[in-house]
Amino acid sequence: MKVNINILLPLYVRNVLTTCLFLLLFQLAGFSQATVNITGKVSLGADATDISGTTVQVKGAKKGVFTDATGHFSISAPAGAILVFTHIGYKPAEWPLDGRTDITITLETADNTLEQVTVSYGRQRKRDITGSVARVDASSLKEVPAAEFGQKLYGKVAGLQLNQATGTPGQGMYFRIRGAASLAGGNQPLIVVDGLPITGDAVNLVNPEDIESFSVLKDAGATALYGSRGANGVILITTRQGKAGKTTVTANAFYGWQHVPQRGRPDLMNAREFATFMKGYYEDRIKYEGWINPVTNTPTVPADYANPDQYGEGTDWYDAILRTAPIQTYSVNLSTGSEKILSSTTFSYFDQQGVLYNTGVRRYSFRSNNEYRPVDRVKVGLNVSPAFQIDHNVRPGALGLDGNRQIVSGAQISSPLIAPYTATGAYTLNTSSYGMYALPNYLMQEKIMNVNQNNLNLLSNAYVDLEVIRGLHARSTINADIVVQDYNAYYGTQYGIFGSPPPRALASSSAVNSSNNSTNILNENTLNYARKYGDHNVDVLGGYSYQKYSQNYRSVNGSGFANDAIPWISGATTTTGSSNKQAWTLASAFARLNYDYKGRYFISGTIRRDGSSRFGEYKKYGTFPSVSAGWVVSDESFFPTSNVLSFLKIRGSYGLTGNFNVGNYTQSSLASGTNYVFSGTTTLGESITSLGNPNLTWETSRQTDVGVEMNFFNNRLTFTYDYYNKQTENMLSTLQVPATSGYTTISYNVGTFRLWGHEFQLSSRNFTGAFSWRTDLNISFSDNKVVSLVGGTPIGGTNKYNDYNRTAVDHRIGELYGYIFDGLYTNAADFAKYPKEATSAIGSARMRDVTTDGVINISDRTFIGNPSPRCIFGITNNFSYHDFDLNIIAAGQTGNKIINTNFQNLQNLDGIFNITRDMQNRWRSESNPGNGKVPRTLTNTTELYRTTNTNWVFSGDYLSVKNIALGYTFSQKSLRYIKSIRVYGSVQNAFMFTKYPGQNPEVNDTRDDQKTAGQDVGSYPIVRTIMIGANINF
Amino acid sequence: MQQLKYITIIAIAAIAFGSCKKDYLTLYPEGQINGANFYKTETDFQEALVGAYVPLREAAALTFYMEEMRSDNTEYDYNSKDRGGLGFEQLADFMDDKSNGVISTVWAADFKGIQRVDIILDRLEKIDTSVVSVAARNQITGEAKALRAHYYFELVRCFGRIPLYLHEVTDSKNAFISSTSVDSVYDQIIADFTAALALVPPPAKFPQTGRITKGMIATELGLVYLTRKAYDKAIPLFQSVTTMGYDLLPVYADVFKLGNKNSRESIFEIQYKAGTDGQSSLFIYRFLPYTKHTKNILGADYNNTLGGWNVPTDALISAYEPNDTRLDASVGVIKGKLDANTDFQPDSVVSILNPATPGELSKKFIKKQFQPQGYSIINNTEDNWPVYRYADVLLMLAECLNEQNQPGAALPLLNRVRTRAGLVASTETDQTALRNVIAHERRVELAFENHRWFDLVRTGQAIPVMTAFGIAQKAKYGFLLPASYTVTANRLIYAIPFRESQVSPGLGQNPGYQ
Repeated sequence: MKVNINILLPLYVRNVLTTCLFLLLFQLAGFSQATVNITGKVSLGADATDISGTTVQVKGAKKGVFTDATGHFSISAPAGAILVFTHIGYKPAEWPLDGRTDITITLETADNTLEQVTVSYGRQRKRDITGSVARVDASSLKEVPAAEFGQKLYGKVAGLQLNQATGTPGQGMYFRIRGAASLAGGNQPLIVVDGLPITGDAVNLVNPEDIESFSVLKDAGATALYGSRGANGVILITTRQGKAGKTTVTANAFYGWQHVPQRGRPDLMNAREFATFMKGYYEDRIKYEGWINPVTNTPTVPADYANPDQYGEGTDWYDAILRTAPIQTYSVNLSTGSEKILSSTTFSYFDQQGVLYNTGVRRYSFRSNNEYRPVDRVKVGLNVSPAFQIDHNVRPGALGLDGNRQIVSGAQISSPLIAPYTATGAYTLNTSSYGMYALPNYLMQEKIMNVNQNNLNLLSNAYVDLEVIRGLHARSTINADIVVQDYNAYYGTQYGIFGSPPPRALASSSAVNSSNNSTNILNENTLNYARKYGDHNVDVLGGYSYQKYSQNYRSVNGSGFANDAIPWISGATTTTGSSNKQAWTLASAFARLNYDYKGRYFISGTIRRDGSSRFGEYKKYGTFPSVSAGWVVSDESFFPTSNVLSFLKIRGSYGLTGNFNVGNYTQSSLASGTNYVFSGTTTLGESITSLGNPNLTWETSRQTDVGVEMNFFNNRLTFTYDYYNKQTENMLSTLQVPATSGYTTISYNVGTFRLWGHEFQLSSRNFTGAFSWRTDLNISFSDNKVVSLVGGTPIGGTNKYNDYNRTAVDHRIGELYGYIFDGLYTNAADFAKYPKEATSAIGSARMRDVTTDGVINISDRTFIGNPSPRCIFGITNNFSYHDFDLNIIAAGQTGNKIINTNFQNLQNLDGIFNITRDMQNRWRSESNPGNGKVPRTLTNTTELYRTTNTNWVFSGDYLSVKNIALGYTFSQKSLRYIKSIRVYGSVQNAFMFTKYPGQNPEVNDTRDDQKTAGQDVGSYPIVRTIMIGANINF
Repeated sequence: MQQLKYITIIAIAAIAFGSCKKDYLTLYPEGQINGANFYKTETDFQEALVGAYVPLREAAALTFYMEEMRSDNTEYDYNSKDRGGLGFEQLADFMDDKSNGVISTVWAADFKGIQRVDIILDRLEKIDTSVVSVAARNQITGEAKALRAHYYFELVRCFGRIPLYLHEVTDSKNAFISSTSVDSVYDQIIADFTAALALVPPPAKFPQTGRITKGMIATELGLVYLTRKAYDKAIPLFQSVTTMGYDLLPVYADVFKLGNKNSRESIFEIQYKAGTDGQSSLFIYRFLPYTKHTKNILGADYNNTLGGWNVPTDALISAYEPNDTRLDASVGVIKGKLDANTDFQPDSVVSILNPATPGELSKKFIKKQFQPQGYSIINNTEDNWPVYRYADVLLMLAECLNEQNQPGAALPLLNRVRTRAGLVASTETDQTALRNVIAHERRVELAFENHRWFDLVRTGQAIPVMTAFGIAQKAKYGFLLPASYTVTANRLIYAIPFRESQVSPGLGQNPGYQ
């Protein structure tokens, strides 16, 4: 050893001396030599979507330049200089000029674990995070057309279930992070935009074009800092910020055509088939019930159906209400940054017309994000984002698009014998053939619909960040979200609904105007101290915040219009109105400590204490702690150095989070006006109408998460696995109490349930180089169980109609609930053999005697399906070859069941609706029993068949190719005034593979309420979109 | 120093933002009264008492299905196009089960009324007489107890064994109470009515206010005793009513005119008022035929999908004696034709004495709530619902006296009712025969006023009468299933609503409805 050192030392010294000398000469040369202009291009590999922003510096110099949108740069440097290239997420590179003036260089991707990720109240290197956090960069999602930002996240994050419940423009998406954690209607993750947790409708109004990145926080370690709102996970949205040293103008535009795919359209009878069915229906009534035709007073089939062969296909009402509709967006962003100011401003216009006629959404939005750095250590931010959205016929009205017997489902049951227009081109007013239920012309109703809502959303925030001493930042922010909504609807003489086709009297005309203003204001004050002591890194955060939400609401109703020409309430003869207000407040204190030793051992603890106006006077405050830890095993000396497994981190967390979605004021018993008449005049009365619960408190989730992160083959393959187990206690819901108490429900902490699951996320750069191929795959498995409910009382499943789910102990949350259909009483022998319902007859539906008491009644309903998927997955493939790129996103789920409640209409055997084609094979007589699955039409025996049963329940498994996008980037040589241009074509919802016969296997028409999950009540169809677009940099 | 300055600024700013009112986290709804702050003054209690009357209406909107259409007085206009009313029809056809929606709504309405009374009584106890005077306290307590007894009386007759809620439900702990025996329920009803009888005065003037009076209490308590066959206790109560200023109006048809609301003949009516302040009734819309156009009937045009229920049976119409003026006053006829969709298109309202010619289409309806002068707002009518009338009291008193073997004393009471209807006085003195005469008289005099079914049950006639009626109905209507009109003892009360027995198993289930 000693000898070696002796030999090496002189070499070392010599080297140092040489270097010093070289540097000295270099410096001298620098002064003596004229600088030369160097130009060049920095590539970031095929995966990069934004290749601008690489810092290029002369080594040793303080300042540098940035590459432009095409990766090009230009810099003055001494001829012998060394250029240093740095870019976040890439390994820095040094390049001696050696006389060259044109340089082309490709930066190698750095360890992905160094990527900066937005976390609650700050940013961290991915490597240092001890919780379960997934980041999605929005720049990779440009070709996904989206009215709502959620549409961009499909298939991207393990454990994020993202479903488009309905195709209604701007209204469709709902989220679940790690399953539905709550019963009380609050399963949406907390959405935080630049630090402001936003509520209600404001979520739909966030402009997808403004978003730079998403962080999905999943475990308690990541979310506990959001305390009483963290239980459903958190999605942090960061909007586009200016970047220092870059001035860019970019424009994005796309135009697309939307249509409803053929798959999943209802399989209904055409005119000839329906007339044949109805002919048989009346033949059977004559035969079995002695029916007399009231027109002829003889037992003869009504004239409309006597000769079915005279009809052809007739009207396909489902097809009639649909069209091909355009979707388009145009957005321009100006971004600049210097040492003193960072600024990014975006203007966007979005327009989506619906595939149902006369529906659509337009949105104008503006965002300006500015950060000023007047002096060192002080940052002042001012972000403002007004958005104006016009919802045309997509908000609920008296006659809706979505829902049972509304336009979409109502059109399906209209008579195919009737044409939408008369010979003169006027609308047919009603669409019922002989003996059918009164149905309006739903196409006409759709086209004359007049329900508009204007939404103005002003999201803004301001902050001051002061570095008090080195490493200590004091930050104070004010966030405000102001929403103003104005709703107007008019229902004139031509307005008709299910059961009541037009025309109707002018006296019946009505109009509704309602509006609300809501303000959501948050003030947050934090102190953050980060410091390195040798190998010890400490990062401490402490803060407190106040949030207040308040909403004023008013509505005016008018009726009795002199003329349809005046759709405003000024034309009404009778006017009623009301106004009200509601509010909630939240005061919180929170703290976090992150500590690591040598960047190898991490520990983090967080705590938040929330006080909320929504909870009972005895339970106002809740405390939500979490601890998490991580260990980068691959940094250990004992860890074998290998290119196969280049990075290994193990992490775990445990913590408590809450859910405060319980509604306002439920802790108090409330009285309302209960007036009565004495002596012919209205006499004021007041009664307690809802029973409060002063002991109401937080729903608390205890969540454990264990994860492992691995990189293989020099980080070309990255893998993350998480196991979680979460127990929600004091589950908020309404406790069912007997109506004998004078009430039916109390807001209550009703019970406990458990959710658990496994999540896998894999990312692989299969090929790099001229042809590159990257695959991102994620898959998660989950399940849940109701552990206990107060008094064991199940929730739901007690009413005969419109009550399709039951939540009960030892079952999954919100399981579908109904009869098990076992076929028919095919003949007299069957009828004698099997238990019967009061209305049963030979040929009627036979449900299973679950209680085995020998009779069929409402008690025989049982659990008939789990509405929660057991497995969700997504796979994204990116290919690029020279100037072409191809992006394919697929997503799917398995294990859930869907109940198509439209079957109460589509399988109605009373001869009053058009029904599904398979109803033709019904029981007619013992010798003609049909296919054994469809009962007879005998009056008063058909109700059982159209109450909830297993015939309505289907598997919700699907695999959907969500998006295919093919792009071409023009090389710079061919462009003069533009820095770069990429054009692309894409297909959204390209393919759907599913056994679900309905249109949309992601349907969940009750959205956020897991107690009533899995229902298809006939919603706005999901579209396939074909579009072209361009991304241009000036 | 510079740093200190910044820290100071930040601290001041933070305190400025951070300081907030102590009650920052205590918010009450500004649009609603909080239950904890209500019930402080006499006005509060008077308003709460008004609220306790309201559930009468919620029940009355449906009880005619259970209390009249269940009997042989009314049926429904079968509509093959809309089977949504199956739950109503099953009550008429004795096909109803525990999942029936009507029974659960009526059940909930009556219990809601009871809870509102319990809150008033419990909270009034804690209030000093300096706040609510003795006089006001007596009036409030009396009316409240009478209401509670009335709600329980309807419940016990419809459902049999039920739970007794006698105190305010404050949380989930006292919300679940098991059912108790029919006798215990009647004991409570009698106790409440008896207490109320001493606290509430007779009507001070006519027309009355519509509040509960001593007359109402004596009448209903009398009916309770009559139902329990305690005729000796019922007689003095009914007799007391005859001394309170009540009288029959000279003309039967006038009793139901709007100008005679709360008249001398009225013992108790459920109050309504047309208009847009939510106080209106809509009975006539239920009783009219199902039709898309009511213009020729009501003057106001409405697509009446609510209609076709509780319509008079032929059996009832033929029960009226010739020249009984009550027939024309009670039953109306609407002539019309079938439109292109074979829906009934009304042309005109005519008298039942002017029958449709052969080939002419007509439908019958209950005329008592029909006001030919017209309607301005659809689904919005002025009519009260009659609960007890003086004619009812006379007939109940006659029945009691006859049961006590005093047919001679019963006859003049019966004949006051008969002669007003334009009929000859009855001279029947045989107790059994007179029992039938009085029962028949009650059927036609009080038709459509929700007495027929309870009368059949309390007199033991329900099973034979309804079985025979059912045979005739099934012969007439092909749509009736063989299992309909299986009238057994179990069918004399209704099922405990399914939801209730699921949520609170202690409520049990009535025999035959498991």
